Formats: sequence, C-alpha cells, structure tokens
Amino acid sequence: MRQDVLKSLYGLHSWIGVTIGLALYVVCFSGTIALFDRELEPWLNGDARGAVADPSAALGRAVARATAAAATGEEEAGVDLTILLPTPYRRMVVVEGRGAALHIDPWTGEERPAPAEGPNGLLTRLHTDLLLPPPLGRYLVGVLGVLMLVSVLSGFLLHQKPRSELFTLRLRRSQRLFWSDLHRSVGLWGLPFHAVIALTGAVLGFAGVAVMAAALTAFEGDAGAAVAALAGEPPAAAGQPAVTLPLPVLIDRAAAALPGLVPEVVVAHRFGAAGGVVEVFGNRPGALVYYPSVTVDAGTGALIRITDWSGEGLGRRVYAMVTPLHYGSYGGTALKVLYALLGTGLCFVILSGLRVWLSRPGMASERGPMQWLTVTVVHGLPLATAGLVWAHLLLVVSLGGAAPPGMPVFLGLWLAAAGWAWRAGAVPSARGMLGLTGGFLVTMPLLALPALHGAGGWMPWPGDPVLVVPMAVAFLIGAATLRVAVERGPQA
Amino acid sequence: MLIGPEASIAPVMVGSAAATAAGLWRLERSRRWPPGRRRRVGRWQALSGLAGGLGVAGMALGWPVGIAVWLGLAGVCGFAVSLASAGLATRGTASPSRPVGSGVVPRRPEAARRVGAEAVILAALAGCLASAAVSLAMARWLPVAAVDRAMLGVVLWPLLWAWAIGHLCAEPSWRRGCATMAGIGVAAAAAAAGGLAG
Repeated sequence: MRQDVLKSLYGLHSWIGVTIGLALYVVCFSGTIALFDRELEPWLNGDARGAVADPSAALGRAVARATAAAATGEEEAGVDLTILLPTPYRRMVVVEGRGAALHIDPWTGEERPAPAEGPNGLLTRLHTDLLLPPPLGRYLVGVLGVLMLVSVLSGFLLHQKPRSELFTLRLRRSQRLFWSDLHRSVGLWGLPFHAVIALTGAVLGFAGVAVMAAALTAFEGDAGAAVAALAGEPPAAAGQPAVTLPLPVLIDRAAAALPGLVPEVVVAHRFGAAGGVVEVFGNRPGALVYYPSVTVDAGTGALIRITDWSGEGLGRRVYAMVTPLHYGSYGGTALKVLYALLGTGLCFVILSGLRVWLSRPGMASERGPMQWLTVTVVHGLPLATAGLVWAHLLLVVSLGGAAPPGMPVFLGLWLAAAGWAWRAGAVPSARGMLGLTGGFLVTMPLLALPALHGAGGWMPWPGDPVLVVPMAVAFLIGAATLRVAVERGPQA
Repeated sequence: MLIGPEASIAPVMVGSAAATAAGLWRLERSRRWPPGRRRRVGRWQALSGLAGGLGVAGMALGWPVGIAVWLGLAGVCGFAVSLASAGLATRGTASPSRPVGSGVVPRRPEAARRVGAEAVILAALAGCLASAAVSLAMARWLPVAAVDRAMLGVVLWPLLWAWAIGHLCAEPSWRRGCATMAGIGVAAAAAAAGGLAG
C-alpha cells in the first residue's frame, strides 16, 4: 500500500481512537457486563428459589387476571396481551396489556410490585443508549459502531507484517512498546470478533430507521406489503367472544411445531374472541437466528405460520444473525464467557491504544485534561459499576430492603471519581480507584451470602450455581484488581 | 409446559479450544525454526490442529455457529499462546526481541493529507449519504426477493459507510474523493428513486 495512503489511514485510526476511544470504552465495558443481564438477575435480587419447573398454573391465573383487568367491556371482544414467560433467570411471569403490566410470582400466583431497574438494566441501557433518551442514544451508539468499524479496518490495513505481529509481545521493554505490542496483538487476534461486534452494533443502532426505509424502497413504497413481509399478516378483526384453549396448551402446540424452540415471549392478539391468534416467540439454542416465532389459532390451536428466518433467503438469514452474533445468545453461558473474554480484550485494545498515544513525547503531564478524562473513564466507570452493584447487594440482599436509585448512585460515584482524578492527579487516583474497585468486588460475596440462606436453612454445598458463580467471579476479579493496585499500580 | 433447559456448548468449546491452542502453539514454535523439513512438518501439524479445532466446532454445532465460535476461540487461544510464548522468552536475563514489522508510521509521509476533525466529520457525513443511497439502491435492485434485498441493504449500509469514510480520508486528493462519492451517491439515489417511482 502506498505510503501516503498508509499515513492517512494512520491519521484516521489515531483520530478515531483519541476522540471517541473513551466513548467506545464505555460502550464495550458496559456491553461486556450487559452480556450477563439475564444471568445476574437472581443474584442481584437474592432470589434463591431456583427455576420454576412448571409455570402453567401461575400462567393461567396471570392471564385470567390480566384479561379481566384489560377487558373493559366497552370495546371489541378479545384483548391484546404480551406475556413474558419465566426462564431459568427471570423468575416472574409478566403480563402486559393496554398499558398496564402485571408481575405474577409463578410459585404462589400472587401479584408482586414491578421490580425497580437493577444495575444490570442500567448497564444494558448504558450500552445500548448511553443512558440518553431513545432513539437519540441508539443512533449515537450506531454511529460509534460505524466509526469503530472504520478503526478496526484501518487498523488491520496498517499492519505491515500481521503474521509476525500476531505473536510479538515484548513484556519487559519500555512501557510504550508494551502497550503498542498489546494493542497490536489483542487487536489482531480479536479482529473477526471486533469487526463483527462493530458491524452488528451499527446495524442494531440504526435498525429502527433503516429497516423501514429499506423495506419501503424494496416494496416500491407499499407500506402494507413491507409491514406484512417483516411482521407477518395482521390478525383479522375481532369477532364475537369465543372460548380459547388454555395458554399453556397453545404454547406447547407452538413449541411442538418448531422443534428446539424454547418459548420466552407470547403475544396474544384478540385473545378471548373468535379469530384470536397467539404468537409464541422463543430462542433456539444453537441456531444463529433471532427469536423465531410460531403463530397458532387461539381457539383451535391450529398452526397458522412459522416465522424462522434461518431457513429463508440470504438477506433474512444474514439479518436474523445480527442480534445473536452481537449478544452471544446462541450458545448458553459458556459462549457468553467467551464473548466476555473477547469483550474485555476489546476494552484493552482501546485502553492500550490510548496509552500508546498518551505516552508520546510531550504528553507526559500527569494533570493534563486527556489524562484526567482517561482516568475518569477507564478507572471511574468500573468503580461506579462496582459501587452500584455493592450498594444494591447491601440494600436488597443483605438488608432485604428496596433497591437504591440506580442512576443517581451510578452517576454520583462516577462524578466523585472524576473529582478524585482532578484533585489527586492521574496516577494516585487511578491506583486508588483500582484499589477501591477491588475492595468492592472482594466484599461482594459477603453481601450476597444471605441469599444462600432460605426458609429451610443454608443451602447444601456448593449451593445454587446461579448465585455462587457470580460471587466467585466477583471475588477473583476483585482479588486480581487489588493485586494490581497494590503491587504495581497503573503508570502515568 | 416445561421451561426449556439452557443449552450448553461448553464441552465442544473445550475440545475445539484445545485443538486450536495446540495448533497455534505449534505454529508459534515452528516460526523459530530454520527453513527445512522440521519447519514444514511443524506447520503441517499446526494446520492440522487448527483444522481439527474448526472441524470439532463446525461438526458439533453446525457450520454457521461453529465458525463463529471457532473464530472467537482462536482469538482467545492465540493471545494466550502469544502471552505464554512472551513469558517464556522473557524468562532469564536477556530478553530476545524477535523481528517485528517496521511499525505503522511510514518514514516519509510525503504527500499525505492530514486527517483532522473536519476531514473525518465531512467524510462521515458524505459517506453516510452516499452509502445510504447505495444501500437503498441495493434494496431496490438486487436480484433476490424483496424482503431479502431490504435486509441486505440494512446490513451492508454500515459496512459501506465505514468503507466510504476510510476511502475519503485515505484518498490523497480530497476533491477527487468527494467527487467520486458524490457521483456514486447521486447515481445510487437516482436508481433507488427510480424504483420508488415504479
């Protein structure tokens, strides 16, 4: 490649890294934790009841209650309901209809108050929307995805000898060389993952506007045909009140029609009226497809259609892969752990790139604005996250109270970290933040311990993995963080 | 109605990772050997390990999932092998540094256009418009079913956008780059609009 082109690409790669590297770090860090959004739910709430074996009875009661609440009698027969089924991690039946939501405990059938947003929900919003109002935040994250893709591709083109750089890590030379080698090595090894995450993130960021625009163009402006092709034919107008099959039976029929489907969401149209239909959405573990669905007649249980884009044309197959590829939802927890490792690597690529830039001659000022901003984001974000989870566990699991207000606690801790970095300088504050983050993480298992003590006493060893594994992971990461803070500490 | 168990692919991942890591370790070692039969054999062994890892993942999980999982595993294993190899190399007093690429900064940056904020913002805006027009034109004219055309347009848009930014910033002549992008954008927009008009 020509030298001037390489130089321009290097400028582009550097400019993107320096200007939006920290924003990308926020998205990647929060995304790495948001991978476990569902899995962390029982741990954060101290829910030791295990997965419900058969939610049929509770589901029937929940739907009857929601139907009675939603059907006012003054409108047409049948109600539209969206039902979130319990999963091994979501231990609640949620029924939404006409703007209201009922949360039903599947063990007792009792109605519960809607749970407050936990740290996992907040971090997921930070990842998808940067905590900004929709759709602005989503589009902004989409733009970041595009720029990350530019950075990944330009970074790859800059490697003159990628094969030798793959295995080059000089650990005991200068700091700059260490970070530079780390940047290249992790960047090259993670290249396919980084490119896929950036592309799918950008697609998801703009999906709201892009899908309709493209569909309208493809169908020559025929909005009805475009919607029907994407979402299926709309249900017929409601008829007279009619008897419907019990929802669990309909869900079983739907699951039988598409082998491998694990039902998670049910959308009922005109439920309780003639012509009512039930769409059952779910995951197909091991398949790269986003939420296939089966539609059955609510009165007879007859199959109406199966929507599974993994067996359709190329465009639908590719689009159906986008969400599972981005969230690693096609292989269980083991795959999510792999995604978390690769996501952590992505954070290190961004961090090491910034360190290379900051360690240039003339950038050594410890109190420069870029140093301050870098410490605030790179060390302050993990500190705020760990602090929020710590406060949540203390109040909800240890003391059995209400969840703390997530956003104020999170932003307050982050602002405090910014102030700390401003007052103390980059190196001491970074070291202190690392130590405090490690302290939060190491003590988390103690706060979560009461969850292992239920009505029947302490759980037998080793306890519920859903509760114990996060404790062990938090402790190990915390111990490693403390060790780094105490033994070495970050360099300027 | 039972809640479905969560599928775990952990055993397949462990098997695939082991074969892949062995292959990568062999590849790393064989790079140090002088050219000859031993090196060739080492490379074949490395390739066998990598192919074995890919094969295990692909056959057990199906090829689309298997390839995706294997690429991720190869990334983690590759970095682990690099780290282990670097740890071995630095054990002892002298730390031999292997030859590495001459770095990313060319020695003579002649005729290179400086990439600054204005250039990237302009490239992003111009690239956005041109790539959107091309995506819409693809959504209208690709020779596949309408809904597939639409979805391909959606997925390819960010890729085209990224390429456009890179192209505009790397193009030595800013005017020529803009003119190319404008030409592509106008032609694509006309094609998409023509389709909409029937």
